[in-house]
Amino acid sequence: MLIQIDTTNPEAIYRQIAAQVRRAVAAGDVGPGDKLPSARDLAASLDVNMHTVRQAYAELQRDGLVDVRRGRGVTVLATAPGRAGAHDLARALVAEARRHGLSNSEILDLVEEHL
Amino acid sequence: MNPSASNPDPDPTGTSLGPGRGRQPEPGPGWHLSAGRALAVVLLPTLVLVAVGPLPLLVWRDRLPDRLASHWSGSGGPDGSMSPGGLLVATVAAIVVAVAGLGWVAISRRRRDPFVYPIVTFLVLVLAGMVCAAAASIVAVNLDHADWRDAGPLPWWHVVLMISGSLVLAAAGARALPSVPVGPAPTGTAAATPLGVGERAVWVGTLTNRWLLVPSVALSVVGLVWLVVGPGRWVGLTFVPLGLATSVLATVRVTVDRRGLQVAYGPLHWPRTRFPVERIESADVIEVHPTQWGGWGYRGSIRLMKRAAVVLRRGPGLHLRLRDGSEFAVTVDHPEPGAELLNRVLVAVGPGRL
Repeated sequence: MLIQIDTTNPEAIYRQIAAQVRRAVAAGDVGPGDKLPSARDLAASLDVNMHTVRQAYAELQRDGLVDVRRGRGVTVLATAPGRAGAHDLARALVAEARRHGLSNSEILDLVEEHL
Repeated sequence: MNPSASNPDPDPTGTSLGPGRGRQPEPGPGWHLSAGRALAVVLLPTLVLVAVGPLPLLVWRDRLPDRLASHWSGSGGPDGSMSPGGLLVATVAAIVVAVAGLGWVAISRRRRDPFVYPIVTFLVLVLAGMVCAAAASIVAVNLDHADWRDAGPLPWWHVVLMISGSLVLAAAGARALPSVPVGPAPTGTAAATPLGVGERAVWVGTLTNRWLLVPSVALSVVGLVWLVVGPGRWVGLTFVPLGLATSVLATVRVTVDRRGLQVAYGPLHWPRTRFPVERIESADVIEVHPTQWGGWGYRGSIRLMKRAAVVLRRGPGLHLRLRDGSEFAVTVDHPEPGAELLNRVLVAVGPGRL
């Protein structure tokens, strides 16, 4: 699971962290039952305040994505089904388009058409 | 990058145990030790063993009783004896085993798993070292006594010396063997783009091998049962910690961040091993084969063998080249982003690294 934040980005850091965890769950990097690093460890790694990470985990808990228990750590509950499904479909789309010889920019154009 | 590799070998004849670490031998299958080094690898430890084991027995045989106190009860006094001849045979037998093992290591063409050689060296030297050191201790305790029953208790520092002395001898012997470079050539960090201003990143990879939990649970259960119903406590007192220790190597969590790489072992993520960025040369992804690294678990030693790996299964792993020329690998699922991030961190630390 890669978590990358940008402190020059105006978006709040806790929101960036939460978004990165959501992406990791959607991509299947972490799955149900997996433990996330403790707020203390993650804060030390990212050189941010521990409360910033706690805030991110609290937001994810409100969304039902993780379970935060004192002393038991942070556990991923379930892959957000909608997001994971969309992810799988996107992967399938790319594979199918490549098979038919579409270039990367053509695939992006195709997706853009439907947005 | 590796200062010791560019130095001329201070000992071209290979007659000393000291150098050899850091010297890169010819790579590829089937290289072997030079005649001088091969001789040194066998002869020097043997001389030490002879000087500690059989020699004092022979030199002071007139000042020893007919039988030697050789076993001590828990309360202090000797409660068992053996003949000096028997002790001499034991030391000579241990030295013969050591010479056979060292000789095999010395003349072997290195086609096997490179781990085998230092491990064999270490094991035979620990074994023979313990036997010979025990003989020396027995001689010292029995010296100038008319009867073995008059010999005093075994001083505790004899035991400490026995264990530490044989470990030091074994470590020196294993260290004297040149290390074998394995694995792919370093990919370097040149291609990695450094983290931008204000960018922070962390990568966390995990791996659990449930099969490795089986021996852990089995050892603990056997140990606990033994503690309750078995004769003596030692089996239980050994097995339970062993069981807990193996559980530590059934699961790992690998973290890459601005500080370097950290491996956290076991369900409690403790103990932890850290490789700070200053120690790391480059990172890449390799296929880890347990046969190449000597099996499962924590294999090898950075300090003694310049190679170590945490092997939980066969498959991809994150591999570090360290600045002192040694290497470290840890099996982990999908290690590519971790290796990439670590290389980006290394580039960011960049020019100020040396």
